[in-house]
Amino acid sequence: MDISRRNLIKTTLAASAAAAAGLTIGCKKKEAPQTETSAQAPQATTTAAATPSTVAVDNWVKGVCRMCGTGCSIYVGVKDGKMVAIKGNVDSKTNTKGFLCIKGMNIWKVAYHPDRLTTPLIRKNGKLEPATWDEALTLIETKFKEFHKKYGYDSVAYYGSGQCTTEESYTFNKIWKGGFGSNMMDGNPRLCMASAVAGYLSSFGSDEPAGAYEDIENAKCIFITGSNTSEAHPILFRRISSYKRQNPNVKIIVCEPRKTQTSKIADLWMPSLPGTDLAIFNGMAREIIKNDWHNKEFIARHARFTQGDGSQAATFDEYIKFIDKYTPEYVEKVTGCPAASVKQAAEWFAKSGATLSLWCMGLNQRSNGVWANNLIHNLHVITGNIGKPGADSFSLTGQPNACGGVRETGSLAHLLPGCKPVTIEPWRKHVESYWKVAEHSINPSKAINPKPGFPAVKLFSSLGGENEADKPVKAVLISTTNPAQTLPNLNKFVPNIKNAFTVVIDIFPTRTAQLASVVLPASFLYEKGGVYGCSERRSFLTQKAIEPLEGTRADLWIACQIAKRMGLEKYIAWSNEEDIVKMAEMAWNDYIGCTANTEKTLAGATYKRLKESTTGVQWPCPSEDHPGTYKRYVKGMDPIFDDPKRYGYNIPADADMFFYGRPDGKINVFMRDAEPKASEKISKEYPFLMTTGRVIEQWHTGTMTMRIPETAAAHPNSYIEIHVNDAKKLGLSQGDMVKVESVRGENILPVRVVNMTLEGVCFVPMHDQKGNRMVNFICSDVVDATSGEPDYKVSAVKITKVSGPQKVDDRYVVTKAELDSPTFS
Amino acid sequence: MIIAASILYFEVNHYDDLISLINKYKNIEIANEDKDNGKMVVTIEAENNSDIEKLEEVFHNCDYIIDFTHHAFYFGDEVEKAELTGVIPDFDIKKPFSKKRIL
Repeated sequence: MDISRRNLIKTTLAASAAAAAGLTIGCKKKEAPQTETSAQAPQATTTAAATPSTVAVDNWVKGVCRMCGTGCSIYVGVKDGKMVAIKGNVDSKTNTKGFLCIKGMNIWKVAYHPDRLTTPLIRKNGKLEPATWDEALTLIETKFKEFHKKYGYDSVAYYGSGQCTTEESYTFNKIWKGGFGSNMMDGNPRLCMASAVAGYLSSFGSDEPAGAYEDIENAKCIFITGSNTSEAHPILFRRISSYKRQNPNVKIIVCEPRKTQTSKIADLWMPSLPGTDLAIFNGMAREIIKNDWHNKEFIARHARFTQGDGSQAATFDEYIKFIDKYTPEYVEKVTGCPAASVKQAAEWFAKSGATLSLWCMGLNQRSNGVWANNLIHNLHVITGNIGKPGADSFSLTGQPNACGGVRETGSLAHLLPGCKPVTIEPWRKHVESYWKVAEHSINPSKAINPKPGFPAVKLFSSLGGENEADKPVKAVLISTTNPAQTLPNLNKFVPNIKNAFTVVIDIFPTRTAQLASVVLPASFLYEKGGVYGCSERRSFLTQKAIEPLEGTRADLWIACQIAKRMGLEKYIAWSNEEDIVKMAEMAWNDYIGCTANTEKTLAGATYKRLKESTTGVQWPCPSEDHPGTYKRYVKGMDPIFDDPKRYGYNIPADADMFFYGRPDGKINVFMRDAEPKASEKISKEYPFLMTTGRVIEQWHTGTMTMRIPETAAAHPNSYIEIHVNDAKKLGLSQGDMVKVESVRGENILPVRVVNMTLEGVCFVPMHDQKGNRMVNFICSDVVDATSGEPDYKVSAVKITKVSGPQKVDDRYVVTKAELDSPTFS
Repeated sequence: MIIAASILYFEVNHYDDLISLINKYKNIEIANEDKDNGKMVVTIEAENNSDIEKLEEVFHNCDYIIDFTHHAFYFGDEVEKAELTGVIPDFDIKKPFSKKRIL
């Protein structure tokens, strides 16, 4: 690279970094916001010698990082049709100042990785063999039609992802629920967010948070529980830690079984044995009320006390009586959290003035995950910490489009667009009418099935071959996810996936692809574009930056081809469009029309607006001139108050805050017992509680991050963390190999001796693809009775030494060559 | 070669120390600065992973440097190499939150 070009690149990048840092000195203008040609690119006067010209990059194309659930906004630099640079979006409301983490910086390595799948594959005589797109799609069409005819419409399932674009998920949802008349479709958010959905629905009557990420910088107390934010949402953690650094009086409380990096910024770490933290939440509520720290006015106006399923009202006194047993001392005995910490946390939570709770899988992936969510909401209601800046009960998502793509489009077995249950007849009729199901459906019922389909674990339990009479689901189309690694108790599900007619859409070989009947090579996000909606109700458009890798196709194109072949060409109007960007726009328009009269309305977020916006749009956003909504349920901020009848709600004219998702406008405060009755318990034979989770460098099953050299190198293999005292008892040293065994399966893992967890608690990351290190062979497949979400966080295991240290840092990933030999060992 | 544009946050009364430190490295250029508020934008050229890693270690171990974060990367040459060789280059960008769990 010659010096002038090098200087030009440095100048361009530095100008952007200066804007991110808030440095205006020497900068002639702020960076242009949109897809911009280099002629419009920022020109800066800097001390680095350079003469701006038009050659650094051809275009900076706006998009979303897809490497975790935060939803960071980026620009991809394109030169001669290739991704050559990446930078944060300084206008972003998500990754403020345009910060990016290591995973985001390395997206390009995924796009150009030699492991990318580029040819459809069909299994013939046990081997996956290259095929044309037409051959693969014809086989899918033939099988789907055959199964529909032989076994009924529910015999063909779809299993999607919080990484598909909203347009893709909506299209598959429309095909299945309206076109096929089958609700036999679910998605991987069932494994991570379903308890949060059910928690919001049961407490508030409407899914997703009231607030937004900007509550972080308005909070006086931040209560982080069931979330290792520093590793799972690093950019959000940067926001929190930066805010704390600038505002040392802000209290940070971290409630987690492990003393993770997140707790390093905490004023208080509240340890808890896995599965027991509901006792802490009830204990904090008791302490708050006992000390008269509760908000009586807020309770009187906005709380409805209830027990059981919420159908029966209760009184405040009954609630007080219910939680009375959760004394700090009792909580300490049950959870391992010191009584004094419960008292301190209760005081800070109630008295700070504005408390923000953040949680993630630690609460959701539990047998009592919905109840855990309810109890966090309880704390916010009794202290009045909702509806004001800095105060919210905020569930973080694990994927960048779990909210927008799956929850909001209703792409789960029990939902319809607008996140409304299929069981609600008026809404079902609306969707039927909007989709013209009676006219187009290939199902003779010509209607959406009012009965929910199977949630993920039940779906894969019911999946099997034609010779398995007890398995009613015979085929599954899996997009952008890897259930042969992510489902719990894998020994139970791997044969089912293998025996069924399984179609996998992915960009890389995966454990699931190894079991598939057909593998379809997908385009990467930046090769197709599409909308992602993140945790804070914000939808953001990624624009197509580069052409798809030769041989690959966008999931939306695949969905449309299936629709056409199944006789739904007119039903999915965009299936006749050639241009993927236009297809996506048509799908988006259909979606926002369908949900325009719901509280999740994005009617004002037209594609044109999304293309122009550098911040995205937060729903409710009913019209193009509406700015989007930072706070729900507050008059003057939430547009639902302007015309409630349009959305099917009744809001009293004088209400300044109203939780319209529930008929009485009040939030349910539940009496939830803390004991995780369904969770696995330790025993003499299985004396350790194992919990699982993420590490910062890896994401999910490592399909992408294990192919990025530096993230793979940072965590090349799974391991088990155990407390130093437990290690002593077991005679284990650093690096020793152990067998970790539950009643379901086992792993062979190296030991990491730590002092940042409770005794008796061990931790294993979830990203490793090596068969005998895939932790989900061990995990419990008990699910939350309401949400259907598995209890990944609580499994009883035993640990026995196998050998001294062995070299296992092999950065293992499933290769193309191994697609035909799925050795899960 | 990769080029990073990064931001240094430093204690304002140590500006001269920071300048002295940066001047030791030929591959770092100061692109912009706000002395009063302790912010500086630098560009870094790196031929390989260890270049950036070594720099980061130095910065992170410096008491008067409050934070060091990357904002943008240019990797066009690396894309070309990857396409030509079929190998993804292995340069390291140090983790923003490194972890030391082991006793």
